[in-house]
Amino acid sequence: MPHSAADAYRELAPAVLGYLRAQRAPDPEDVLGEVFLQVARDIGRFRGDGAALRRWVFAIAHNRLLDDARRRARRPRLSDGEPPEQAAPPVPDPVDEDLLAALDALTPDQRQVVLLRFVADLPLAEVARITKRPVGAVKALQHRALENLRAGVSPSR
Amino acid sequence: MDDHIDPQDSGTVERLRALGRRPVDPATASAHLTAMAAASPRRSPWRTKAALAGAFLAGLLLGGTGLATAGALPEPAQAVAYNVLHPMGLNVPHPHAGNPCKGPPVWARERREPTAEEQAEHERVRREECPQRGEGRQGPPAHAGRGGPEGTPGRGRGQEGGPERRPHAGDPCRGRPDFAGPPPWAGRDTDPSEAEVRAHQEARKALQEAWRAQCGRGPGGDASHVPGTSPPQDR
Repeated sequence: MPHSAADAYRELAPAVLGYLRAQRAPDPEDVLGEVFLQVARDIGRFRGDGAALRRWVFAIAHNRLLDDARRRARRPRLSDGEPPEQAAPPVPDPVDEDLLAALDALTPDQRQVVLLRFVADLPLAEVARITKRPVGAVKALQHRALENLRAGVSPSR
Repeated sequence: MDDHIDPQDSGTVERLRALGRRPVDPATASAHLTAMAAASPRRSPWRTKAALAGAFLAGLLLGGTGLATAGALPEPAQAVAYNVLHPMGLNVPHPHAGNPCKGPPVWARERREPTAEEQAEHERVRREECPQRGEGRQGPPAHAGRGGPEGTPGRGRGQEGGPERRPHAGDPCRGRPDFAGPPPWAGRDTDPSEAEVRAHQEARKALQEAWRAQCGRGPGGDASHVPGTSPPQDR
């Protein structure tokens, strides 16, 4: 089924942005733009239904996050010298900070699985394909992640 | 596959799902969509390779055909190009066009049937002016080694038709002339068609007349006898 990149953006960009924010991407909107730029370039080669499109777009986002993490790990950190002057206080983001903090406390594998499973809304098998893990391992990671989140987040919002 | 969510986790799961439902800022979305529209779609590597290979082959074909049409290919390649492209109606010069010994006859270049005179003249020129294949410049004609004239036995060396020199090579009036040989259908299992017999007879007659005009007598000195016709009974 042919898809247009613009339609894919309208349908999937909110979920991809939520995934990037929860993964603490340094500039989630910027990464979101890069992800969909790649989608726009390669959509002509894509074949599949809506579920396959969702999996494909999140696989791109997942790989881009991994690439960014590797790039940042190689880059030397500016630790010496005075810290830069803070121009303005950060604009409060009305996201679920309580939940994001609880997600930060998870292991990277647990966080990856639970975000792909519920923010990206992918079934277990697709999460297993993207993370290159057996389905059983993904299920176990999801179970432990939800247990930890239940303990970490405040019950009412 | 059991994908059951514990009811205790339903609130957390709902909050996680809500993270993915927050809309993108309209200004950011607009900038992204503009950039996406400007991005040219990438072609698949397979298609790119196929397009490159196709362009290369097309270039090779066009370039080769152009060179062949101009007669600029090396001699063997030009001959191959002639044999392939000429029957397709392309005007490709033969590398030996104009050379009666190596080039095709004029009617083949002009894509038409030959007249009997043209065929006879062509045979004569080839016989008299062209060195035979496998021989020196004065080699024997095509019928060399097939036996003596008019049913007499051959002369030893020529019995098997090997590439030996004929005693009278170079002198068309001595020895056995070409038209005295067996017809093309000799040794064939099937009978010749009427048209084939007629064409052979006409060509043979023209060759005999040419031979008579040049030599003026039969092989044994008898001007009334022309080789390839019935031998005189009293000799």
